[in-house]
Amino acid sequence: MYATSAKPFQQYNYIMATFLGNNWKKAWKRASGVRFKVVAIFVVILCSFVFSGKVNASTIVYTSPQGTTLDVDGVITPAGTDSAMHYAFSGRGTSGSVIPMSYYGGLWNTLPVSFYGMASSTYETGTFCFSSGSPCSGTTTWEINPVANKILSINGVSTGASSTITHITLITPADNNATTSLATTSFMVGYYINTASTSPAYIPTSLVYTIKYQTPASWSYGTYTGAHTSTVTRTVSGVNLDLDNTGLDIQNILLPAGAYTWSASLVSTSSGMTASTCFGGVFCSWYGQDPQFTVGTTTLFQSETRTFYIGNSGYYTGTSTASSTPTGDAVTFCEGYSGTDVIVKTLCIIPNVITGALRWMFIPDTVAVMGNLATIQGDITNMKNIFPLGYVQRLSDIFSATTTSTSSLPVVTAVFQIGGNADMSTTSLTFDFGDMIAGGGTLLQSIHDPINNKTPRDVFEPLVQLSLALTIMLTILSDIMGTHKHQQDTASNKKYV
Amino acid sequence: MIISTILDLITFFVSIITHLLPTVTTLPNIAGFNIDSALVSGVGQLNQFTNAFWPIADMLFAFFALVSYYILKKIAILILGSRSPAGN
Repeated sequence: MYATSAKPFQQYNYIMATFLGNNWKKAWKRASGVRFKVVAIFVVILCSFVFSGKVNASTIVYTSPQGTTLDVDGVITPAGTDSAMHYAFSGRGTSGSVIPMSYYGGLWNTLPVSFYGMASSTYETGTFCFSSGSPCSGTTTWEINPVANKILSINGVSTGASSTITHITLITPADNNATTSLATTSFMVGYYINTASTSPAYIPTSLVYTIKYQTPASWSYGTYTGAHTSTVTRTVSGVNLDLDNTGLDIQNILLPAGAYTWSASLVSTSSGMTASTCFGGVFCSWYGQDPQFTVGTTTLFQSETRTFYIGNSGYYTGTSTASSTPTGDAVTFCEGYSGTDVIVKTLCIIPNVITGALRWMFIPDTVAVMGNLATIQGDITNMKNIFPLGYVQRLSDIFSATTTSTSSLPVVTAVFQIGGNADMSTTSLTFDFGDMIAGGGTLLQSIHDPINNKTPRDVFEPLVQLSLALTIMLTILSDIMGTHKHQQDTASNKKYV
Repeated sequence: MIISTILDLITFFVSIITHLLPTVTTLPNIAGFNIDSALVSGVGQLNQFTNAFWPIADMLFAFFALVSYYILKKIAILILGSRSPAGN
């Protein structure tokens, strides 16, 4: 048979042959290579995660009413962080596909927007904008690439100036019910998280949006009031939620025709407080909740709810209504649980209150700490000029010549009397040491070695520095070792021994 | 809250120190003699001199290095007394 050092291919053949013979124990023993066991364990763990729903095994796929398969990548990464607001989204439709889109809030009145549409493995890039203003003027419709399997056009309508208060701005499909050439159903949701205007005390930590929809049996234009039959929930956490830059996230999703209710919540765990699970999900399991059921008192930045409708022909119809929760409202969340069960609510809130109290007892508030550190830093910066350190700083500045201490050497004038009488004329000789020294220095610098073209300084300065360094070292060493003390000093030191 | 309180106290005392002590930017006059202007002029002339004759700059640097050693030695003796390794 095969030795343990057999090549992996041979090992694999033997293992498979043994498996076919139902002798799996022997096969496992033969697979003595560590990598086989590691790979096997990893595959088992991965499969368990997939089957338990912790890992999405594949990309979410939606099927339009027309039978067209639409691949949707749920998480879209912005392509840039500058004010030009680059976006990226992916989508795939059939030839003639159109994603009608408008935006709410007028965030991009004059700024160019770069869209990176993906079709299959090919990225199509280009710079487009939504408005008719500068620099993208002339029309409100821009085509990205009118080729099959490409995102074809974006139709934008400006609805107003951007708001520094708005934290969530959603992009909803444009009302394109007049268009009859749409072949696919599409929908895009965009978020603009204006963190620059928020207080540092409220750091957005998660963005949750939920889309509920129902596909009616027969579509009629207008408000659909029936119950929702399915829910699509996406949660975005920690994506561009930093305070330094204007956070931005945009996600697109292609949906079938139906009536939709879209809601988004920008949630802040105040000063970074993280929501805790309900004791590892124990309580959640008791009440049949999702294991990721979380509890915590968080601050809701803003909540938006809208309803819209997508027709069977694949275009957006209907009206959009919005409701917004004011910024900064403290809302107690029991995320994952939307019921009214008092016990569940209590189990959600009480542990959070306790853990929150303990946390706030020992973990300092980030804002307060940063404020204190800034104050101390400013005080320490000013302390160099505080008595008596100010004198030290002044001496240091003078000796390091950072002050205006460049003075010329004094000029000496000697007056000579000509003749023996006091009323006779005198003459004087003036000695400008500065000119003399500068001239001497210049003269020394101007002399060059004819062979190596080196000045006296180039030649002798290393030797001077070496001799000085040796002198200092020997002086210090002799002082430490006491080798050159005078006899009386040595004798006087003995009394202290 | 506890850590924040401690930081608040530290910040408070540091601020007290920096706000109570005066700010000094020049050396004082002693018996009518302006030490600050004298040093500024003297060091300026010294710089002028050393810029022209570079060995003087090196010698001054070596001199101050040696003086620094003796100052450190005196500080060690002042603090440690007879236990100073620099002697007494």
